[in-house]
Amino acid sequence: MKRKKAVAFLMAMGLTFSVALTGCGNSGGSPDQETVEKQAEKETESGVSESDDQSAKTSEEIAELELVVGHAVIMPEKEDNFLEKKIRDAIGVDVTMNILGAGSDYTTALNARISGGDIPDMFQAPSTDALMQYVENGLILCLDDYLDQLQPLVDWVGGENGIKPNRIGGKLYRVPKAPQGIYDLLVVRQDWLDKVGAEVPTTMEEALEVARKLTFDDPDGNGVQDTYGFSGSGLFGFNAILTSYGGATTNELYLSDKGLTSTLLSPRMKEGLEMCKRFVDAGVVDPDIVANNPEVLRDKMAQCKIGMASYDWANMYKQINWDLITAVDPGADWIWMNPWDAQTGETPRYHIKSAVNTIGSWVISADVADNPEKLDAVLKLLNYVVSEEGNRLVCYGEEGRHYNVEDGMIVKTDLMTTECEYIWLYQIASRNEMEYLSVKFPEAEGSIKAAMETDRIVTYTEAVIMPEDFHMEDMNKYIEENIIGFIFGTRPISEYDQFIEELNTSFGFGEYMKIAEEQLKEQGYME
Amino acid sequence: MVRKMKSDRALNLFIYVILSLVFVICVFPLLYVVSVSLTPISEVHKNGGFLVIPREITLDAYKMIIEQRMIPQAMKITIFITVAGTIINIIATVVMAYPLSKRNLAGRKYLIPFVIFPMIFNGGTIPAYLLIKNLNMIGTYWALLIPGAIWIYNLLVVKAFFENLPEELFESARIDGASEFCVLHKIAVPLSKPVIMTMVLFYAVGHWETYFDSIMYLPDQKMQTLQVVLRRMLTPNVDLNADITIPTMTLQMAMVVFSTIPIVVIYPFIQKYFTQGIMLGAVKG
Repeated sequence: MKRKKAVAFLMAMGLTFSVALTGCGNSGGSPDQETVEKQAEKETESGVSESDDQSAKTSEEIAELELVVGHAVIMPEKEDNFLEKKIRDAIGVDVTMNILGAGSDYTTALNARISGGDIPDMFQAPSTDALMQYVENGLILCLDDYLDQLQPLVDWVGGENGIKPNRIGGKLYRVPKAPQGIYDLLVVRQDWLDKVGAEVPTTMEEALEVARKLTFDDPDGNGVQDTYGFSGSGLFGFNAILTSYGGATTNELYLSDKGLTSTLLSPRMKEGLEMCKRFVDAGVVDPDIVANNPEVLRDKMAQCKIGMASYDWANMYKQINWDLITAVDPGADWIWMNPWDAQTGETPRYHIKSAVNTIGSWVISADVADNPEKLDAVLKLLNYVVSEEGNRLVCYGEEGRHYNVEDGMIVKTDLMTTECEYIWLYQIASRNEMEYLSVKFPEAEGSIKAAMETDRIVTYTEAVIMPEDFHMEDMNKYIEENIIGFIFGTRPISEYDQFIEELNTSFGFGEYMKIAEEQLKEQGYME
Repeated sequence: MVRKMKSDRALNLFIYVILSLVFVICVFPLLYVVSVSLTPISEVHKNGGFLVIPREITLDAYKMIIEQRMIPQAMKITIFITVAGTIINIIATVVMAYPLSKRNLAGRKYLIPFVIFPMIFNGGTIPAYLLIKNLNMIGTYWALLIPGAIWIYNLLVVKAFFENLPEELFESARIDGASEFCVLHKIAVPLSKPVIMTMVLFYAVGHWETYFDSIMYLPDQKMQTLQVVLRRMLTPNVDLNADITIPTMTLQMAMVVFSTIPIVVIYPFIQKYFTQGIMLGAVKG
């Protein structure tokens, strides 16, 4: 009996140890030979692990950089990545772009890597909050000391003005980048307007009337009342109305005649909310508007359920999307509109436009400073992607293969569509937006221009960094819930002032405005 | 008697109706997914985004998935992970569950809490990453195979199953001179096929769905598993970016079918073990 007990116990313990030992014994073999080779190859390529020294020895003059991003993009294999080869040929830097999940997965995976001491040489900061923590822990390289070596980059972003939004506490941690375009567009079906005998609306009242007709006058002629006059992608859709009143569905900071203010504090915000509620009460707003995402809205438009929408040119006018939107009704004639005039004497505006472009900025690991080769490689890369040659490469691919230059204009070839799907990831300092979009999506050029030229509220919200103990997310959540309540009638608009008071007392909104003002003054956005 | 038969028939009819309803509720979403994946997107939209029986059939969405350059490689990797991982899981689980099922195991009352503790309190992502990094498993498939070699919940199920096997069977084997390993191999395992096959399914599905571990532990893009590649094709709408195109509903549904089919295919082979009577006639008297 004793013997049996001993055998059983030994078996249990044996297993526990064998599992642990198998784990430790990496050198003891791997699932197959191919895996070992892949591992060796990976380490040589990426230089992620402790094999840095070895890989430096094997590739001697070629410095290696690992770049990490969080996007759902399919990358080619290293040997098929023409872009990395070209960069290597041009500046002698072996860049490896790795994708570490997307969205919240990226934040988790990146944090785990960073905690494990595996800090990528360069990576996209998942959020300002996360970046603040990295900075506090001394993980991010401050670029101020190297600005004299980054003159091309400084010139590319337009000097100090382009650099200052990227500073955190006065220091430059984020790689500055050129401003990115705004895509939001207000669109309407011209063919339906003709059917119901309406004109493109220019004022709020006209828009409400047109929305009524597009809802109740059976614009699709199927004898069923199955259309909605107005929809959008999420609560933001109501910015089609609110921004003309100086408001917005979210808290956005902007400069008015009286200094810094928030869209929530706009004197006409209540009028804007009343107008939104009139749209909702009239039964012309897609009841799912808050839950819609771009994909759902695109499908609804394709299914001929929507007459007017707050959407964006990319999801509409890119050929691939246009084909989808017009698949059911090839006669669907979606045109874009000017912002609706609230007739308050102010310029009609549609949606917001951030004055600063810091979302998705690249940062550099502080460890790079200890390795002169890597530091040199980073500086070379940053200057290369803004040079004419380098920027063309990361925007359009290889000349003669992915694009041709005809009369000084860049003309894309079919191969650009098929072989360059991933190269935008390498646009570390962004791009010349208008030229880029016109080359890549010539079919949508008109809508791109219209989106760029639309009057919007210029916001500075992104430039403000709140202290860690300020519960920004909670405040934004509370704002969102209440704005939905005001628009859909679950909270009377007469309580709006009380709502602002609640923000002040419970969430420190007043404090937020003060800090924002101080920071914007420091950054030179206001006096 | 006649009345009894009538009431039986009514009961049967009632049961059939209820089961048919359950069947429809279960099959309907699957049918919808398959139908949308086979229908041209314009046809889907014409039906208001909803259809059950496709009128026009196209395999475009599937073609698009298969033609994606990373899919064949990712598929091979995932099959490898699933097969190798499941073998490791089953061996480890059985070999650990068997001794733990023995009431006379020395130190059992200390071992069981030791096993259960990590099921309730686990270290979290970062400690797991640090551990795997220190074990030099980053960038190797070991990282997907070894840390999850035993799922405690599955271990407890197998242990409970072993505990229910009649001790007399083992006694008789031992009397015949069988070693402990022989008892496990020749008696416990063959009698436990239903639970082992259930675990095969659970573990295999778990490996087939490997997603986050692949992102975390395999930095090399060409080592990624199928779910990671499919997710990348499905592009979440995080940021508005002109370079990203939202995939169509058809493509999304095709991906669901594509990633589910292999598991659905192995299910019938395992199902018979679920329903198989086990101990019938094993112990007499």
